[in-house]
Amino acid sequence: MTVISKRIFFILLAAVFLVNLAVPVLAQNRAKKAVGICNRLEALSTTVGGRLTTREGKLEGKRNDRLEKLVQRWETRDSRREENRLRWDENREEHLTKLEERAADDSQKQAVAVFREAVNTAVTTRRAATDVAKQTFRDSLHQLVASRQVAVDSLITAYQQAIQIAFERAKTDCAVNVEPASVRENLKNDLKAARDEFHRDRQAIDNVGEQIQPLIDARKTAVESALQDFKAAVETAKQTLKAAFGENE
Amino acid sequence: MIVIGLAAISAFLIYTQFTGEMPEFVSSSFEKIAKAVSARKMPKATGSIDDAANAVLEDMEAESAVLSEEDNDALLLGADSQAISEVGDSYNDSDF
Repeated sequence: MTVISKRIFFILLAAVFLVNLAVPVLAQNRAKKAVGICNRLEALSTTVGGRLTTREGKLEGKRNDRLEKLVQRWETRDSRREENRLRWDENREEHLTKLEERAADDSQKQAVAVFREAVNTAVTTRRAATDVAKQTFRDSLHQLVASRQVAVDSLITAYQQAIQIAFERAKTDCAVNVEPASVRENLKNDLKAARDEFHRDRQAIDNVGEQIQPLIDARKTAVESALQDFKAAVETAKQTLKAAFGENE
Repeated sequence: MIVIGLAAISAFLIYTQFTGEMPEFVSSSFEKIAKAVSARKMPKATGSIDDAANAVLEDMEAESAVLSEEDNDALLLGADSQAISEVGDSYNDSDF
């Protein structure tokens, strides 16, 4: 035998020796765990249950944060919108006053009054329409948040029940002296199945984009329609006033 | 450069996918832009009919900018996704 062949032979021999040592130890550990499963059921159940409660608390925190954030954003935006409207109202008034100053006779003054009325009505109508679209969007979003919450809660309840049933089955099996290895394996499989089902059902609820897009589209369509009506009303008022001032294009 | 850009875009998409919301610096930038648009300089009154009509139309654009911010709120719907997932992982195989 060459030197290299001898080395390979000894390495293989050492490997076989180590595997022979390791396999019984691993099997023994597994057997110990299996035997101990009935004694550890209560502790295991408490661990999983405790983790579930903690994480439910965290979820509740996230829900509250979301609601607070939404309300805060809406309040900030509404107050900014109101400020802007006041500023633009003042600006419009300045433009209308300047036009009134330009009116040379009663007929032109009357035309400016008609323009004023038409523009103010158009602004009021547009703002009312966009306010309705905005509020409808917010209400729908609120509704989505609420229905998502109900769906998730029912998912969690089902998950909790499945976990409870799994532990009860294990306890019953332990009480009637079912092979510990089987108790352990069954419990593990039941808990895994409960977890997999939770995640599978969760994915069906979590299609946020699909739920939101119709709301965004509906709001945009409503606003776009209001803006088109507004532009048309302003254009008509402008052309009528220009005619009165002899500025027709 | 392209790789860095793609990596940045991917990181952003992964973030929004998992958290269900935009990073604070991105959403606040959008808010700032919309704020700037909505708080634009007022058109000076000149006595021109065109200027008066254009001023009214500018008011509309400013308001539309504020209104479009509402879209960002929709992302908040998925803000609890990660927490829901963690509830589902309350049991893990290492418990055995």
